[in-house]
Amino acid sequence: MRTMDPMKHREQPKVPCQMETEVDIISNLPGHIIDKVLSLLTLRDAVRTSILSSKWRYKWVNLTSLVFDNQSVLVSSQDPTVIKNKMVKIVDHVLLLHNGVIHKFKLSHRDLQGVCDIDRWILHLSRGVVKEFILEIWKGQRYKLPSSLYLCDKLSHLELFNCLVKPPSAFNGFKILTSLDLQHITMDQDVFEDLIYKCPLLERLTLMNFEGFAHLKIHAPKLTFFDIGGVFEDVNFENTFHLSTVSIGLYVNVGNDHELCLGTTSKLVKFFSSLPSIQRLEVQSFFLKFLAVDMVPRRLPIPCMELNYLSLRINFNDMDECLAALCILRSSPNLLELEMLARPDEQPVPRAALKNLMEEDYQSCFLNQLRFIKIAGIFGVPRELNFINFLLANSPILERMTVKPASQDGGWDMVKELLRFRRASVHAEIIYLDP
Amino acid sequence: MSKSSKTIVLKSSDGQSFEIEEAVVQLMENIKPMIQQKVVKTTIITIPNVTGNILSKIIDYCRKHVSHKEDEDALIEFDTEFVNVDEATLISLADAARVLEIKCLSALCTLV
Repeated sequence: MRTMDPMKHREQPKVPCQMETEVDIISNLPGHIIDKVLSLLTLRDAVRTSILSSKWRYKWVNLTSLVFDNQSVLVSSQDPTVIKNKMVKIVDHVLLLHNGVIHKFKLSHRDLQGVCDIDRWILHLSRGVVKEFILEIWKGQRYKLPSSLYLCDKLSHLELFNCLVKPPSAFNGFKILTSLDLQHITMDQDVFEDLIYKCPLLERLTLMNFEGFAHLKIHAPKLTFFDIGGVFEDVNFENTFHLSTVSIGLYVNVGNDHELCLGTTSKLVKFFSSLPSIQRLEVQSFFLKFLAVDMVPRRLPIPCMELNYLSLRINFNDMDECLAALCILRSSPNLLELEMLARPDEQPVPRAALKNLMEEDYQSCFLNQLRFIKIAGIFGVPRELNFINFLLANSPILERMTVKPASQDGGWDMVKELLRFRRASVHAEIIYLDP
Repeated sequence: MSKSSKTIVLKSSDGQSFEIEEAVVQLMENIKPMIQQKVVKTTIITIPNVTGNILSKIIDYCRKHVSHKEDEDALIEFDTEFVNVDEATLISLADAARVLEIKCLSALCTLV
């Protein structure tokens, strides 16, 4: 106890006094503030606070979020087996000492391949109320998820990388799942359809590089975001009336010989009619070609009133794809931003197929809201330049068009052509970017 | 559009295939735009609800009308013979003509 004598008080050195008070302030912060501070540290640092003092020994054990990644293990050895064993010990240790609920669990380490220890940890989580589960198996075979994962009915976010999904037949879906991210996964066709169908609150779906199913039947009434890239045969949206952001990439060329069928709705029409709320659309790889396989109408029966951003990967030498692009543009009166990325021909196109678009193909397409255009990967051939010419002539409020060629060759000639084109918008800037 | 290099195949609902010439397609208003739009070498078009039997007759009709365009008498004779069939077949022919949008054949079938 210090005396109240002001003289004696002044004599005491100030610095040690301040340090003592600072430590007290942090340790005596309310519990929820400490929890928040610890949650912002890496798991490794958070656990290390246990050595600060006896007060701090078990402060970290209430963490609700456990992230085990490449930063969690710092071992001098380069041997993956040694690192793996250390990792297993760390996770076991943490889970055993942990006290309280775990809301988020993430496991993503390059040396942790499909070990059966993961099964044990998932079993532990299934007994709790885990809301977010992220598992990334960096190398090796697909990891078969244990049946206990499918008992985690409080999941709202599930993210898997390099896993095999095979739920038991009694699986009833994740009733409150809103976000699903599956990359490099294998599952059967019926498992996929079932999973989507039985997660009625699903809002975000990401599917990349999947195996085992090829028919994408998406029945998800609450879905707003959909991102897919892979090999598939068809895509069917059912009851996806709130889907506003879509990105689709078909990684395999659909080829040129197709059977058409008289009287069936074209793929293009079917695709857009099932997405009435679409706002942002990215069509990647060969998906535009896929959509253009049947008879491409001049315009869609129902216009896309909400579409304001469109990105198309397009082969300007493929007439079907160009007609499909024009059909979409003609049917999107509120389009604000357009991006066209040229895809080069895979094989030289046979002469019979080198048909040019006619003037009438370009008609009645008014891009009245279009402000920004981005063109990339072009070579400056007439087909590409004609399309650019058409875009400039039909966009009265265009602000900026950027053009980035595929290579340096013919750049000057391209610029000369671009200079000639008439612009409907007096404010339009055309910016040529070096490749 | 080079005429010689294109192959057009019509497939009936029961899987029979018939290779036809472009001139024949000109009479089928529903098929014409498909051929015009698709620049591939071989175009196969399935006609649902039309059997091979009926499709074959339709193709004969179109071929006759193309080759004997100028010869009115021959056409009238052919047409009379063409509709000289039982009612069921006539109805099928009329339906097929409607699906493929062959105006002259549709008119012919309704006159009977």
